[in-house]
Amino acid sequence: MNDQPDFDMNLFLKGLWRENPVFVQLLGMCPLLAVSNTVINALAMGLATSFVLVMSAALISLLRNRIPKEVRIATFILIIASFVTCAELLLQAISLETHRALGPFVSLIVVNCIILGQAESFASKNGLLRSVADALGRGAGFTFAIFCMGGLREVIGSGSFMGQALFGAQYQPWVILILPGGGFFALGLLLLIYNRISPVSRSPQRGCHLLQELPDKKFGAGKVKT
Amino acid sequence: MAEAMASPQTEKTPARKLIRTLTLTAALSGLLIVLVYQLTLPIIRRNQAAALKKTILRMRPDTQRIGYFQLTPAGLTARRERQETQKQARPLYVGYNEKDELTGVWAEASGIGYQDRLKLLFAIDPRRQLIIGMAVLESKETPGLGDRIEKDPQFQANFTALDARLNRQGTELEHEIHTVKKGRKQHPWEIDGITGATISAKAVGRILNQAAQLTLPLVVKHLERLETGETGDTENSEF
Repeated sequence: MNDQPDFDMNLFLKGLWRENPVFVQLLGMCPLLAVSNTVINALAMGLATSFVLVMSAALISLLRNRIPKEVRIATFILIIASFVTCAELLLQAISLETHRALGPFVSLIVVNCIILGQAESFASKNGLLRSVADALGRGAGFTFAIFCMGGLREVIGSGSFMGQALFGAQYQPWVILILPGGGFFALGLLLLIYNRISPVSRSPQRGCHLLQELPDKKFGAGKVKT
Repeated sequence: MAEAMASPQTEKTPARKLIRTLTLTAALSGLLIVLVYQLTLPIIRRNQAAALKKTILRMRPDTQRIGYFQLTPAGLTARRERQETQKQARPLYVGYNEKDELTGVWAEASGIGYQDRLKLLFAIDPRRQLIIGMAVLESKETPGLGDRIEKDPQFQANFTALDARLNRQGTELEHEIHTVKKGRKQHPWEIDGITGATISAKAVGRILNQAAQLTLPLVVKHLERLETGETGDTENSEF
């Protein structure tokens, strides 16, 4: 258990880039592919997920010494589900249209493995500020990834960005990118770009066994999954 | 030696503590949700009312003002815009143009779709006994599939003049409205379905039929009163 009281910027950056939940851990694929057909929808989904992630991490971290381990998962899900309901109500108050465009995926944040994973592996073992820093990083990482997906799909698939036309009437949009199948193409392309520029892929050493021997600074906390 | 060899026993948490933790967390969660619900409710209601007006105007752009009524088993009563409808009453919105002529009557319908409850708004032309528009007010249908009930122009074309004629007694529809497989529509009271969103399309047919069976007879019965629009709380539609 680590009770360092400071807000660790390294934790934030780790979630945002080095261990991005989408590009590295391949988590949260369901909303990522389903509601990234426009930038607005993608941003709304990313922000709603980040809100739930940060709020639940904060509460779980505060209550971590009072939650018996036998009921910890049930308690985490209860807390996460409460914040998801709040996020849904707030989204309806901010923009009913966006809430409708996201369909069932706002409610489904409750089963997003990024959130339960963060609660179980980090927030339940660390202090408030460290947990919030980690949750903010993961939330920002997810929002960044879904924003990239939304941007790519809307610009190429509709010829617009946030509803504003970019290329004029002569542009023929690649409608395939807006369709469900296009989400996979866009994700594949973004993973390709990420792996090209990320520190892991630039290392001459490859393979999961060799990765363990890489210096800690390349992986933030120095924990590499095998 | 014996002590050293004994494996450390993990302490079991008493059941009372487990129950207390879950109860307190549930109470805290409930409190949080109720608080946010109470805070957001007036804003959500306002948003819903604005969305409703926008939908009505999109269906009949010549609508200048809206009259608010409710249909109860006892009959037709006027209500204020923000007034809640009574129990078992169905809200009714009546549109009027510049000359105070009736442009359409809008009623709400709801039922189970593919994922969750679907809430629809449908427009009635009571003189011709036709359904002249359908919009989705609330839906959790799958984006890209089920939500085509709202976005698919071919499916929406079903509702430009959907037959909702009443029988001779004026008590129910002459023909039940229902959804048929795509391309199999033969009668004006049938809805041409959507391939890939069969359940949602069928749900729309079922929900519309149920609501029309209840609403149409009462709307036609009270048509003269609706056309005058005197008793409804009306509002200029400067949307």
